Amino acid sequence: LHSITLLYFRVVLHSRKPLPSITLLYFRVVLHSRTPLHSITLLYFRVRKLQSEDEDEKEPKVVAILADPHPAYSLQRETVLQLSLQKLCSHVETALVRRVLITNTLRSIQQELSQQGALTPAWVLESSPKDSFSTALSEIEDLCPTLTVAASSTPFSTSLSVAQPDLQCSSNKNGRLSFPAVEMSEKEAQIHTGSNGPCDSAHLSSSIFLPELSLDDFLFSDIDNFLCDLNPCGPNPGLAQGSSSSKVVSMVTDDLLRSLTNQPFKTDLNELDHIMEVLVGS
Amino acid sequence: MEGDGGSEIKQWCLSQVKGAIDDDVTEADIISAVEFNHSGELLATGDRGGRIVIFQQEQESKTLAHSRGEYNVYSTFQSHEPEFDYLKSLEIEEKINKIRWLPQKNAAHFLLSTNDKTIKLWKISERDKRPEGYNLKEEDGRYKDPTSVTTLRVPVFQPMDLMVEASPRRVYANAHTYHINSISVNSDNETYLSADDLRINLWHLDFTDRSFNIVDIKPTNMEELTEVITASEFHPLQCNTFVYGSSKGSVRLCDMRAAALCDQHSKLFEEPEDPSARSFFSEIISSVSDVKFSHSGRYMMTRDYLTIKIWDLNMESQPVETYQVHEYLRSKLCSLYENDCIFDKFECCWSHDDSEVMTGSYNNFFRMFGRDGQAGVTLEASWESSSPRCPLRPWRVCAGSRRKEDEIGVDCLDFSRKILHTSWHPQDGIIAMATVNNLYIFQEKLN
Repeated sequence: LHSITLLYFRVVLHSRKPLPSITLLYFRVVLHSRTPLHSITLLYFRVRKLQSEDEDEKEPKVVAILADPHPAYSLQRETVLQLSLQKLCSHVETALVRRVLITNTLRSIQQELSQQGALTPAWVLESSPKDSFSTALSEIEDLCPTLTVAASSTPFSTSLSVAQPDLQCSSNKNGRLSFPAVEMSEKEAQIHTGSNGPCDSAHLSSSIFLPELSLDDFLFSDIDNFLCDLNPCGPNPGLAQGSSSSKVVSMVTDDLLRSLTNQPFKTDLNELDHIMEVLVGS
Repeated sequence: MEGDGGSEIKQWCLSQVKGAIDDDVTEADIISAVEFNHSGELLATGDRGGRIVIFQQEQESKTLAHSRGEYNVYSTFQSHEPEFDYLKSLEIEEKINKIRWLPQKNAAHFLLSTNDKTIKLWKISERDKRPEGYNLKEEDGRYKDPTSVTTLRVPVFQPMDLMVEASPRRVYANAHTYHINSISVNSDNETYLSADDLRINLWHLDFTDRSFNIVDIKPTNMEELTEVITASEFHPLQCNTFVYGSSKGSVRLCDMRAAALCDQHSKLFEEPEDPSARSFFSEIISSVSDVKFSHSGRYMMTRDYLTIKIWDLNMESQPVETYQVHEYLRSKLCSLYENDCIFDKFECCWSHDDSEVMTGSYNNFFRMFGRDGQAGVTLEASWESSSPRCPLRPWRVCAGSRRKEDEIGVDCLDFSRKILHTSWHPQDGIIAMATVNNLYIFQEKLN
């Protein structure tokens, strides 16, 4: 394991009803053609349980384990990355000057990371090294019991590709969500949150895709209209190894997005979208 | 007290504090603009509630021979109101971003004030007489019945209590898509420029229905936007020259004689980046928050997050002087990024003779630099620890969290107390600055 990369997810749980419901877990993966097979992606979950506004946020933090030649620098870079994403996502009406400066900062970090080959989520490749991935996940398990608890209380633990926000406290009981407008292939990405033990396979749905998007699509256009306009495309031809261009894979459908008209969830959708979009590059 | 170089070490004393003394301050009262007029007799402040308060200096006191007059409230008026942009569903703040005085031409005073979208020309005039003795009107203004008038008289002016009236003479609206950050009156006294994030417009003071776009850096594809305009000013003497600073730390000087649209700069002032000082925040801290020409017109001062740079207009490659405002913050940039303080836009100003420059910092500190080689001095705007006519004592900022007499640790600094807006009297040793709550006026101690 020569180089370990940090892939950062943020799962936001809304607990407004007795059963915490999961909001959209939304991720994209960019495939780089020259992915060295031995680079591993470490999944780093930070679970934030949003409760009512007068309660404090409970934020179990997960420490990412990095085998990194310059841990302090990487840590600062990670911090700046995280801060930048937060700023872009949370303040919708930030002044243009700030948005430009924050975006430029993000871009430079992005460039740095991609130059180091950091964003190479190997587990999406067909020949992903499953053992190391599952090892990584079990490490996460150990560090993050809350995630397990939360996951088991909402039965999405078997396989979760996308979670649907619990708008009326009724839709999430089955765990598996429907994508009415999207073809589901057999390969579904499964992020096991730990309650089921190590995950044996990390497959990514190869059928639901969105056109390649840039960071700036989100920064300078209306996020809601933009997402609603997106339509899932056909199977990703670039999923195979050796593809020369990076493709963006997404698990969100436009119908799903249209249903997310509730204000509180919109913000989180934007948050996650921004986070992932920036993280995996444009 | 004389220094080695023969230059006097100037001492500053707190003269006045305006505003509420308690800690309870409403958002609307936060001062967002401070500006002396061209004679220094008037001092205007704008706040986030869209109000302008003008202070007038008393005639020099007869009793205290070496004391300059105090500033008292002269006029208060609501300049801008909050608006709502229905197309974009955005509120337009009434916060006053900038105030600029016009040179005085007659008894009335004129100033330009701007919020994010609209510039207004205000006339401030005095009225100390009023006509009395109309034939057809009663004293309260009601019209008399003409048949009841039996004699005629000539109305005369009678003295009355001084009334200061502010009236909006022009409203320059709808010319800016983005937020206005600067206005600057031209030396020709007929035109002025207004700059937003991406464009600069040239106006004639008399015409509100048209303005000329002289700089446009908006890319066709907004996704390619990486640089915005942050500050702009006309040259004090050459009516064809203006400069604008950018978020990438460069300043461009443009000559309006060269082209109608000054997208091509005539000069580009940019200091090459020091590779050893590179960090994630290099670009953000290089962003120009203020640009000011010297009174002589030969130099230009730029303020970025950590430094003040003085540029000779004849040399674009590097500044002729650089002053560290608060270098001790360089190791704290990540925290300052987190709490958004790194985006604070500090103003700077020249002394009346261009021999000193001044700017604000955190913890209600402000920094003064003499350009003749004196080291900078750190002073505090605090009504608690200063008494009038008593010279301010300099502070030192050290590492860590020590706090003792005249020395404070970096970790003890209060970043919520910052001095962003400063102005120097055009002819005298008087400076005005705004802390969050209050307006402070300091005077140079005359020996």
